[in-house]
Amino acid sequence: MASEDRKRAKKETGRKGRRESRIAFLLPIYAFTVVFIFLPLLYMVYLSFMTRAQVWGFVSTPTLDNYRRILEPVYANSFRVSLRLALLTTVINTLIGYPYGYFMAKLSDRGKKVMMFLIMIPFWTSGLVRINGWIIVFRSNGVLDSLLMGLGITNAPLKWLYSYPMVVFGMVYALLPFMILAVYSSVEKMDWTLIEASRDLGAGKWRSFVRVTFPLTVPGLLSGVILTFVPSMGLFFIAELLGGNKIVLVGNVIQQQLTKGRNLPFAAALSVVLMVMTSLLIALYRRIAPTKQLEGLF
Amino acid sequence: MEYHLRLAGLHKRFGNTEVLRGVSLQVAKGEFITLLGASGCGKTTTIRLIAGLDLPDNGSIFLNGEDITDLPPEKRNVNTVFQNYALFPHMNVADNISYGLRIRKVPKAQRDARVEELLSLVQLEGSGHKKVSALSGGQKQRVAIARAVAASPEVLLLDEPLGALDLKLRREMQLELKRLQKTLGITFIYITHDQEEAINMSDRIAVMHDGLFEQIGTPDEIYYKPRTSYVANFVGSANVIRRNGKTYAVRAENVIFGDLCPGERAQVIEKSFAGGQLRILFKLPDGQMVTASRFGLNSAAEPGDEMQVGWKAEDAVEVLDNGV
Repeated sequence: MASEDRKRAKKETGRKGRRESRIAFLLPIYAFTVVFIFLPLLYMVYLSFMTRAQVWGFVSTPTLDNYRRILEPVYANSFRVSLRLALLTTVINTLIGYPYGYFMAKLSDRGKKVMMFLIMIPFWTSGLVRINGWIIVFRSNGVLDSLLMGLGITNAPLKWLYSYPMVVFGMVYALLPFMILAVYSSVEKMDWTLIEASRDLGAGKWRSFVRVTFPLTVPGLLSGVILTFVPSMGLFFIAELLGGNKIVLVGNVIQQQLTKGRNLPFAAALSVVLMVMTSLLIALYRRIAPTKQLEGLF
Repeated sequence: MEYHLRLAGLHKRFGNTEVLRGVSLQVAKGEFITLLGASGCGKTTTIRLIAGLDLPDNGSIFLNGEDITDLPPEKRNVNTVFQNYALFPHMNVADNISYGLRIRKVPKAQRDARVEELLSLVQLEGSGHKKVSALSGGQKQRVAIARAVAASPEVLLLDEPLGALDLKLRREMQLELKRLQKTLGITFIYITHDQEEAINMSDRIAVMHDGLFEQIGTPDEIYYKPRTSYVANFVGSANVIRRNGKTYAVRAENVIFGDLCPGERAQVIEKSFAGGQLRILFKLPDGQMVTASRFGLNSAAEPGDEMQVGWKAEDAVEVLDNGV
């Protein structure tokens, strides 16, 4: 009897101990999230309802002016331009990234490793440096012009830089790896006996792809869409470096308001609107994603 | 006579391993034939060649006398029930079953009627709307079978279809499959490593070993007249006895023992109970081992005892010795 009681008591303290240690493990994670993510966000939202101060900072007078100002054509337009660019970037990324990721997943193990390595290399340097690298290639009398003129294809420097296609190129370049990796990982997980079953049941290669492979890799494609669409709304430095002042994205407006404009509350309001837009997009994704496979990602 | 399906000298090599070393087989229309063998003997490769999922390095496959060796899988009137079922996870049960019909552009009304018919054939009435992930193993099995027979193939290939099911369900499904095959009149080529299953279901069994058929025959022939020592040992684990340069197979139930029976003096090594049978292992004076089996739990033999062990001359079948 006594020993049984002891055993039970031991079991209970054991269980309690486990729960305590679990909390101890999770506490730093919660603390980090609250201090570095939740509180700053809350502060930003708070800031967006305040009034700007004369020189720098803000005064605690609640107002909706910041949000009203977003509706002015200059700023509303930057949202339109951003959305359009993000959409175009995503479409091009999908057209290149899906087949790329698909065929990469079908390579030998060795081939996969090599491709993965090549895709990861650019991540070792800052995006800013890489964009400046492209400027060296594309600027007037730069690498590309010299090459074309040297080969006698053109006889005068072409104006590549500071154009809309150039910004699209920069965006696609910066975000394509995310699309490739997202598609790759979902194609990699494919159970290829399903394709064998499809062909066994009378569907040719192409129809098997359309009816089986593609629907099963749509979650990967959609997460690739999110991974490219969302950041392309905010990659202001690409628009600035490759587009000159011609293409003004929401990210550029926010950056200008923070630095030159010294209008923290307005920058905060713009950020909040941008964040709400992207959150809605992710919510939409979660609704239409056909399986739960990738839900954990967002 | 023209056979329904004919395999002629199939060879297949994967890297350095010769998986098939000249496999030939003739199958009559509506026959239930089982490829029986241990894992790695080449049975799955054989049906993958018939399905067109792999191509042979050498040899030919004929269906109704027509050479189909190089046809892609979608062009063969042959369907497969895959070992892991391979049901499409993004489709419900009905869409899985009607997949082949949709590919063949069968009108919807006809398709729906066929799905209903098949669902009742595999006893899954009213489950058409269910998600594949909501099914049990046995139900998935039935859906896989319904899907494979939906477009009325001439030959159905089944790769250890009952392998993942528990014993009781397996017995039920064995009977059901046999009934299904009779109803549909389709030629079945069935893979298993379970000799009991093979004997229960097949019209003929092809015992496969190391990329070759060791023996092809009715369950009776395979059981009572094994051609080689491998077949004798693999099917029902008969004793393989080597005497005077000859090799004999003696079934465990035919081994007699006791103090008064004719034979030779042997020692009881071990006693075990398996599959409703008591199995007693004896060691003969020349060192060879012999297993005897009896129904029931009681036996006078205890490990360490010595007694006479023997068998009737007609119960010893001479076989080709292939070292197993």
